[in-house]
Amino acid sequence: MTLKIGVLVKQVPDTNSKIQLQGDQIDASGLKFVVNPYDEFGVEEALKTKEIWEKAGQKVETVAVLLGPKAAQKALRDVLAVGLDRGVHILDEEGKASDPKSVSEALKTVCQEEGFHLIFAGKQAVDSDSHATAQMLAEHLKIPHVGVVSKIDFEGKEMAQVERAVDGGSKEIFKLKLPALITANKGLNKMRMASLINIRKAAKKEVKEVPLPSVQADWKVRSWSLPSERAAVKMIEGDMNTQAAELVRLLKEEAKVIGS
Amino acid sequence: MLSQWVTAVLLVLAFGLFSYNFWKLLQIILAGASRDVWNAYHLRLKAVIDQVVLHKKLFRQGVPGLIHFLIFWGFVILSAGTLEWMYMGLTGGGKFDFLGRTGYGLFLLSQDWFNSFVLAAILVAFWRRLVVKPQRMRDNSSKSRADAYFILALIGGLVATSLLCHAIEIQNYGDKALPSFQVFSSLLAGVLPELTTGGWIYQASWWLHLLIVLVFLNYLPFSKHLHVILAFPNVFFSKVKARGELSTPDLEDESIEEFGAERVENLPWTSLLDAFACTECGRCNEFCPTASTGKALKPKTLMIDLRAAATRRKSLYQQNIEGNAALAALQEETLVPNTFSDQFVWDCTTCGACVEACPVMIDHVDAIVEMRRALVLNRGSNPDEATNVFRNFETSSNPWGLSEESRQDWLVQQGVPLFENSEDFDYLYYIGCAGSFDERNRKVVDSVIKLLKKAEVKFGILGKEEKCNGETARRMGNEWLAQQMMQTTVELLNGKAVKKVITSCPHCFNTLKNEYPAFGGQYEVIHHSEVLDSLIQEGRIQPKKSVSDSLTYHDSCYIGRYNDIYDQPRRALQSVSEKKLIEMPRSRDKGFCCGAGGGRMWLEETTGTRINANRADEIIQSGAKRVGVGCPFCMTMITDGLKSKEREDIVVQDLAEVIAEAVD
Repeated sequence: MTLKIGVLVKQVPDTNSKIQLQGDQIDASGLKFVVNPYDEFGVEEALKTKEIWEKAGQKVETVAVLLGPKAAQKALRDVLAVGLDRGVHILDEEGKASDPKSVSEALKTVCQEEGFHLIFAGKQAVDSDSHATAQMLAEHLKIPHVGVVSKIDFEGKEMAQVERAVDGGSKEIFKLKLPALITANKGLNKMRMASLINIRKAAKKEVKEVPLPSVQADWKVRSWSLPSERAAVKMIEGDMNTQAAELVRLLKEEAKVIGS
Repeated sequence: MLSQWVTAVLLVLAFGLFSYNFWKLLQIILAGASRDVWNAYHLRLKAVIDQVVLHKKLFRQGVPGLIHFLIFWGFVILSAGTLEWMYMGLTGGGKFDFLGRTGYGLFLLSQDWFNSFVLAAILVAFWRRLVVKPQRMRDNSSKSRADAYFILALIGGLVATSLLCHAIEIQNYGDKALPSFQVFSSLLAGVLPELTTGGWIYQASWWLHLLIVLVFLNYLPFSKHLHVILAFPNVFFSKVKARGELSTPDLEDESIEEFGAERVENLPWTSLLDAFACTECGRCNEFCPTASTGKALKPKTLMIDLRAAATRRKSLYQQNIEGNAALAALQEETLVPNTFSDQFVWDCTTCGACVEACPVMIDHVDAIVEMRRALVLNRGSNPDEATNVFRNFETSSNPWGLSEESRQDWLVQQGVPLFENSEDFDYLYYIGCAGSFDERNRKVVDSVIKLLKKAEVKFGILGKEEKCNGETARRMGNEWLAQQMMQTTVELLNGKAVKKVITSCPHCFNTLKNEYPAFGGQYEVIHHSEVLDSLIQEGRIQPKKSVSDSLTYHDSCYIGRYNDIYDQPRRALQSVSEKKLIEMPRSRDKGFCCGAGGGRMWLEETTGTRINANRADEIIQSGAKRVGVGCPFCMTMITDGLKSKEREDIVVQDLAEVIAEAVD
């Protein structure tokens, strides 16, 4: 029997590109969209896991799952080019699934149908930074999950030992029974290059488009605004005493950060 | 009569056996991928004249060059003597005396002189191998060394027997043997005891000579001395387009399922010919920055291992039995990792020192890039640092991944004009990524701009429209990414009707100049060292003072070896220097790479000693207080190299900065 590994993939704006607004909405026309960088670790880990298990004689299929508008399908093709076997695209043209809860519900439907033995996701998406969707999905699916993982060792195909860094340089080590969901942190791996041959193959790989299941979002971002421009730096002149006195005056009167 | 029959049978057997083995060899070579070589005959002929007839590359090293020159020409001239020998055997004593007394006399004279020269050269060659032992010969395998001694002994035997036979003929035939034309044989005849042509010494020498010729012929296909035959075709079929132009595969062709050289037979047959023409002389290793710093890659090994791999593959293919397990396994074998390690292939800085050094015009670099292409395009297998840099090129069109928006913003703010169309500007100053983003190299750009303005050159820049031109991605094997980048820049430049381009980076320079024509970009490309040199010559830049520090110049591979720009930067620097420029031992075409080329700038250097430290040692030994460079990557590498030697007191400057300082 073929084991399936699911990889959750989100398309996000490249954090290098400059966000611009049109009214109170984001102007997407100037934005460059990429695969969420943390999801890349999930993609690579799925490929590695497939290699390990297939070496042990187990057939494995890797499936990327993406939710978003039609245009986001490029991200799906990108990860197929890196080597994932096929994709499922949950079409959400109008952004109806606007919060982690609704997205995770939509993903649940697909994941249940697919019957994944293992699911990888990035620890967070770098656009909305909710840190919640994958975790909620695991709860919906009632499977164990560990987040922010930086090392994974499998013990056969049923158990995994995973590691994550916690404050102060210590590590938490978990053993979890599969099926399970793991979210990846930086340091887990580095996604391989999409070779030209694989880019070509990716164009021919199967991408199944499914409509958004009926989900209920609890919230939606209504408007956006840019942070206000930073005021120019003010240089204080004079000798040490004058400078100190002037600084105190400014902090009190202009910045109003210390009381009188 | 019997001896005539014996000679005939020997000749037929020897030539037959040779033809058979040589035919097998040709099949191995021609199993390589096709390459069109039936063009540019004048250039090919010129290469043959320069390298075969005149030995230009061999004369890079005087004494060994001269020895080879004598042996080579001796060999050619003595071959005429060999023909006479065979003629003599077949006719039962006939000679070439039908040439007339003077004609035959001159023929004998040539044989006599060259027999003696070659004998002397052979003795020197033995002495070099046994006493002097240059490094590149010490590196040779024992097989390679035994091979050399055996061949030298054969050649020595040939000329010694010839001299002896001629001397005995003079003793016996007197004036009929034209002793006046044969000075050395006559001398020998004088010191030897009286011998007869019928005696066993003459007879044994005569047959030994013929046998050596035939043994030599049949030993060739199995020896590094095959170059006696293959050097000529290898030079003739060597690359005639610019050395800095890599091949352009058609990536759109859906019928191609593997790119680059995944397997031996994916390499063009000219590369396999290279491998068989290799004489294992080791000049490549001697000048190679990786071989000189203890890394995996050694260009000579590349050729020797390629030859072995090609031979093995072909011999197994010839068995071609269905279901043969060994054959199936062999078909799966790839150049990397079965013949070469990843490290081996990624070590190369593409500096071209090996290509420049090779007397038989082997192209090591192109073969390495073909292997990198296979790794990247077919397998996506490359060092992690390379993945990073490819990414950065993709997202930001610069190797650091810095925001494209900020490219050259400091210059735009200063009011440096943007190149909009060719009517307003004579030159486009294509600054490149390092000049646009790297703090240190921005200062070089400032100096170039200052000097161009001073000379009232009408130039413009591209500002944030400028993109990386694809050079590095290309040399790192990512041909797909590189071609996209190259096309983008060609479109940009053609859109602005650019005709003349000034570059500061030798890597940009080479690609724009040599590789863009294949993508529809025809520009006159000039490196800033050339521009500054000619502006000084024309008096449009007038240095007011000169630098008193002792100066040396570090050649960049991509303007130096790849594009023969050696004199212009030196002349420009000299014009502002009080003292005569110091030349380092490894300079000009023998210049030593800084270690950054071929994308190595972006890869960790974790094996062997550091290339830039090796170069820094040489700079320190030169006694120079300042080093002039002409490349942003050399700038970084040389600065770091000197830092690692705690010699930051030696100033590293681009030649533009040195000149700008003198103009103030």
